[in-house]
Amino acid sequence: MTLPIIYIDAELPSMPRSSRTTQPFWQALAEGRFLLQQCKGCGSLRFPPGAICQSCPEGEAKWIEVCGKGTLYALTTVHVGPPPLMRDGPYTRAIVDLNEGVRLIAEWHGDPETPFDAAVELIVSRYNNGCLFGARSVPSK
Amino acid sequence: MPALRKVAIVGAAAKPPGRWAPIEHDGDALFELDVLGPLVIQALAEAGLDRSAVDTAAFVTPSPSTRQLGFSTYMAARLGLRCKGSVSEVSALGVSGGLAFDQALADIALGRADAALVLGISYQTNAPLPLIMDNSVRAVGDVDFQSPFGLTPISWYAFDAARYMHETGVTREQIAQVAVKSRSHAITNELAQFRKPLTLEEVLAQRMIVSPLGLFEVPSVADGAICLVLTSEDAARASGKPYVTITGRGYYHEGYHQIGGRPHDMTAFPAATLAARAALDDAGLSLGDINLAELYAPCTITEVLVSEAIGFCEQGKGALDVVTGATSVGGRIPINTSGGCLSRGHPPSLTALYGMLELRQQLLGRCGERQVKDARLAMHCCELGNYNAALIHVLEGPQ
Repeated sequence: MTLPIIYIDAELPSMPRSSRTTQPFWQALAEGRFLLQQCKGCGSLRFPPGAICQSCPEGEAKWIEVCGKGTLYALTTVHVGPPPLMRDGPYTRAIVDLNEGVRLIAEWHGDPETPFDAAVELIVSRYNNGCLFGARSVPSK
Repeated sequence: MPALRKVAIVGAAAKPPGRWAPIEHDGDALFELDVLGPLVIQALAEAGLDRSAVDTAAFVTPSPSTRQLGFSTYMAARLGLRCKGSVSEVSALGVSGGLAFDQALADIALGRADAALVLGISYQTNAPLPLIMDNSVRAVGDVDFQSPFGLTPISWYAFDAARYMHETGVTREQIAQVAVKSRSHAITNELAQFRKPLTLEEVLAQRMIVSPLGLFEVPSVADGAICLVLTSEDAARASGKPYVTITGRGYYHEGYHQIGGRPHDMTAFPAATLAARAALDDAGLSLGDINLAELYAPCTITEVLVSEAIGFCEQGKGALDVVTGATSVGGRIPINTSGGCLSRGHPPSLTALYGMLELRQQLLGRCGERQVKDARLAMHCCELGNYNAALIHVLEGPQ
């Protein structure tokens, strides 16, 4: 289930913080694994990770690993953004719906004109100072 | 608790949104009090009130580039106010102006105040772009799981536009007509930032900002300053001066911040649908009674989606209604006769108050060439973050 890892020889200008709650997610991501929380009370999936469930009073959650497959909901290419992110020109971001029913924002590694609802997979983008997650079209066999 | 009193807008003054923030240490600069103070005096004069009558001052929280902190109490002192209602600073992204208005409205309705100011000044153009960008990506995303991706506020609307085009087959050109329509309204608005005629070709020729939205399909940065004066309707009637009343209010937060953890229809804006229904119920009206509307719509696509969510336009027809002129002055339901965020200008925390001001001027028949004929009932809507929440007021003019 390991996600493809893409190495990017650059510094990530804005690093996500790692907390007692989120540290397992970032640590797994660096190893190529994408984790979601599942509430021990109601079983609902939680992303981003957090200390409480949005649906029930249970705080405890277990980590589950997902395969990172999903569909592309939307893309936009940012031509005017925070200057540190604009070093290599415009950047494209995706809204991805994972097959498990979780929506997230991801870097887009691929054609900015990719049709929506296409099948996509998550990847890990490993920068010199840390990792983020991205998505790309599922390569045709 | 006594019965709620009906509330009226009895005075207003504003500076046109634009690029006029001071550069600090410039001997010619005008700081916050220098700009806001005279507007307060002017708005009170229109209402025929002395500042000693003001019991409540609801300030919109100023922008991060404002040096003076403790802003509301400082400014109340410098304005010479003594208040038995409340002095507050209100902030919730694009709903800020609407919530400050709500605070003043509630103080008068509850009898805590007989006269109230809703006011603010926002300097945006004196802040360095990296600071604005850093603040805005942190405001409109989870700072750990979304902000590092660099999504600016308008990039969320760009997602909406891209998805809407995908689902409906409506084109960027059709959505871009909102910018052309906005400008045609703003041409005669002395409070508008941009008043030069604009063609669709010019809109489409601009450089891309967040695809599929170009420079003229997104708002420019703007400074703003505005003051509204509210009293009870009884006091307004007794003054013999013209006034408009607030007859309905509705609010809804749908429980998302941009996107939730679970998929939902991002282009549906249910908060606007539900807040509009609540405001109309509160006023005892139906949507067909409304003669015009000012919608907080930073981008072309936003106006399209809110018009559909409230029900002014059928689903998927919001842009087409702009193309046919249905939402222009003279059309079925004129929307953003001020020129809206794109042409009147968009100092985000104050945009709602500029919208209220336009509706008041329309309901009092003061809008000249862009006057909506026989305007009597108007709707105002403001929002926060991708319309995850909406605050709607219904205003009524003289019979």
